[in-house]
Amino acid sequence: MNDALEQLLQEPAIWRAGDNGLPWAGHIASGFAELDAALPGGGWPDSALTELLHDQHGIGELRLFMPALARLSRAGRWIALIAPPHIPYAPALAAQGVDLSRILLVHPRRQQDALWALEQALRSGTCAAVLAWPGSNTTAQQLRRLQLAAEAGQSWGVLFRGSACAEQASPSALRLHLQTGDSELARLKLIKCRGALTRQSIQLDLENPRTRALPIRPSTPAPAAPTGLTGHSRWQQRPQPARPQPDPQPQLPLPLGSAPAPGGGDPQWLRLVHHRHERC
Amino acid sequence: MLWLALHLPRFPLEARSRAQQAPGPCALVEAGRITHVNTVAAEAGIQAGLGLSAARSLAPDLQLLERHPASEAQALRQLADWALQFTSQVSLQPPDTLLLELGGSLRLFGGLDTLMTMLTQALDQLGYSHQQGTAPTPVAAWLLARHGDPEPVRDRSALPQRLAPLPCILLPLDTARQRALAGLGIRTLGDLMALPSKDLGRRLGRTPMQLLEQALGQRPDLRPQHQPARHYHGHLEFPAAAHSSKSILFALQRLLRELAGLLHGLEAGVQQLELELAHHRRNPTRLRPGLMRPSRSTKRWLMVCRERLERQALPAPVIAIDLRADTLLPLAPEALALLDAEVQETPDRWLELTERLKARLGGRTICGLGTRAEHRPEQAWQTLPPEQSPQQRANPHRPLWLLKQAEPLVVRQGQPCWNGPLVLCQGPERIETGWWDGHDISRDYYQARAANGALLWVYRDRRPPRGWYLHGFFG
Repeated sequence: MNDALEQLLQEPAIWRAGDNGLPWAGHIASGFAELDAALPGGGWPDSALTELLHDQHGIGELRLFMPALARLSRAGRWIALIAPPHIPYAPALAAQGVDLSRILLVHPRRQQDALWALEQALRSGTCAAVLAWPGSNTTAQQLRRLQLAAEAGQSWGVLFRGSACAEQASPSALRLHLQTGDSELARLKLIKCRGALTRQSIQLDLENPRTRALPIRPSTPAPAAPTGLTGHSRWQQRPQPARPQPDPQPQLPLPLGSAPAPGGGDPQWLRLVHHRHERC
Repeated sequence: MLWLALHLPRFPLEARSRAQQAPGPCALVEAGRITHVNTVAAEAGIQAGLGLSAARSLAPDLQLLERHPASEAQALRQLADWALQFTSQVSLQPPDTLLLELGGSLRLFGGLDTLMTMLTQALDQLGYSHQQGTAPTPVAAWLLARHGDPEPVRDRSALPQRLAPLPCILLPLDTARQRALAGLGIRTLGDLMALPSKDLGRRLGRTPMQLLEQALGQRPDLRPQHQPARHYHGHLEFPAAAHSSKSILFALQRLLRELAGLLHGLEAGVQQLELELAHHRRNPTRLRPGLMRPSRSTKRWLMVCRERLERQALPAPVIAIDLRADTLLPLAPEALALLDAEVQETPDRWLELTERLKARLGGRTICGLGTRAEHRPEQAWQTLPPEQSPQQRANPHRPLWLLKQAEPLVVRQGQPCWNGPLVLCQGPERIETGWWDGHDISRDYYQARAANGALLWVYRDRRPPRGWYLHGFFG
């Protein structure tokens, strides 16, 4: 009986939600330990599309990818930016550790050209990562084509789209929704993640990426972990503990010329928070 | 010495009609008579020497082209240019034969058989049907090729035996002499060789005997060496006007292959081509496809031309194409791959990608990124041609997104607003510079957090009217 079950589970067509057999060809460490832990394979999916849905600029939509891009830019292949909405500012990119000599900027005039350039860049195999702003009305067929191109060229495609696209079906390997809350931490929601459970929410401090997850501060009152979930989850399941609030930012008095604001406040403790998800 | 003769029996016709991929019946006309026919027309029963009306009755859709001796000579010279990729010694035998000395090339190309396969394939791709002959003397090779005997003769001692069965009509003699030979009962070269040459010379003149001696290697045969052209100008006419980019590209690849042969021979490459598409009763369309680096790869050029053509709207069907390369740049020959095949691949593919993007989207839409030693934020960055190593000055206090144009902010009760009031959280950073070139600025920059959580880079102009502006996002 057991043997028969084992045999059945060996079938390549059967994929078990719980196991972390890698559904992705490879991965690129994101540079955020909490995020790496949440993604199967431990990083961004290589040779596939990643979609980041967001509505605002300036909420960390680029900083989220910077540690990975910085590393990729020094590995020999190129990083293409296709149809960026504003100027990707070179001094800031250099400050994030990106090697500017590996950056290729493409400014197509029409959306069709942007999609074409995106596919060419993904398929060519010379770009380690392709970041693109293809517009919200990209269809699922076009995305499918791009996904295949990324597989063929072993490229990591990152598409930035509006959060209205969350409703649309998409063949991308990973879809994330980036939001800001009242705190300074970026909140990432996994809408779709090939090979892992979705509806997780992760909070990241984008200013201070950490490559290793830090232990939870012992003084934090840690409520007993809920035991109702059977445990092949790798992460500790906790409701979000109350974070020590940083000092409220002093508002600069206007008119100008007053003292600069104290930088940063105390180091933020990072949390990986799993919302309870439905499991059977 | 080993000479290869490439005899192109339909050369005058094919030089005119090879722009078409699958031609219909087609024939060349001189003085009201048909001189050359293609295979399709020959299958319909049309032969050289036929009158026009008779030919038309055999094949109603027959295409007739007027013969043009000057352009034929030019086409043969271009083919000789192309053949320089196989050997440096190429000699013309007008009107329709090329002689190539292959003795020095056998080792490089890996033997006669490999070389012959390459040559045959390459000629097919150019659209020329051919017969070949190989022999130690040029005249013998030429006679064998005209006879259609492809079996190579490697040894001089085997020449008399191999040449003996060839008919005398192959010799380039006028009709009177041919008739005289036939009257003497001499049908083959073997018959001619058997007779004493002195007496024959008295009857027929020196020419046939001299030719025979040259063929057998008993008399020196000095051939002028073909001098390659220093620029390329290929021209192809479409017998029927081309409506699709596919048929234009087909003709273009034939010209590009010809060009590539010349460039291989000269160890050169080109960076810029001029392509002219002629239309009926319209001004021609002129395109100038270019590459990032000189190249002689047909594949790369074809890819760039395809992207360029697809972007171009043509006003009318194309009746002829002209391809010009005026500046041939020196380019080192490619290393034959031993181990470095994979290492070389990536830069090539990279070039391919950028060239393809440039050809389709236009050259200015593709660029690299760098910084400049400049305090004004608008000028602290620059675009560069990709592949140039830029300056990289990091500044951690700058936003990842910079707006192309600073956006004025609404001020309510003395507070700048952008989707609600802004909270300034870092700053000011005063930038006051640029008085020397008239674009001077005097600003105080702040990091500001918007009500929706976005982190912005804003400034206040220090000059009246002291407005607030949004200049970037900390993306």
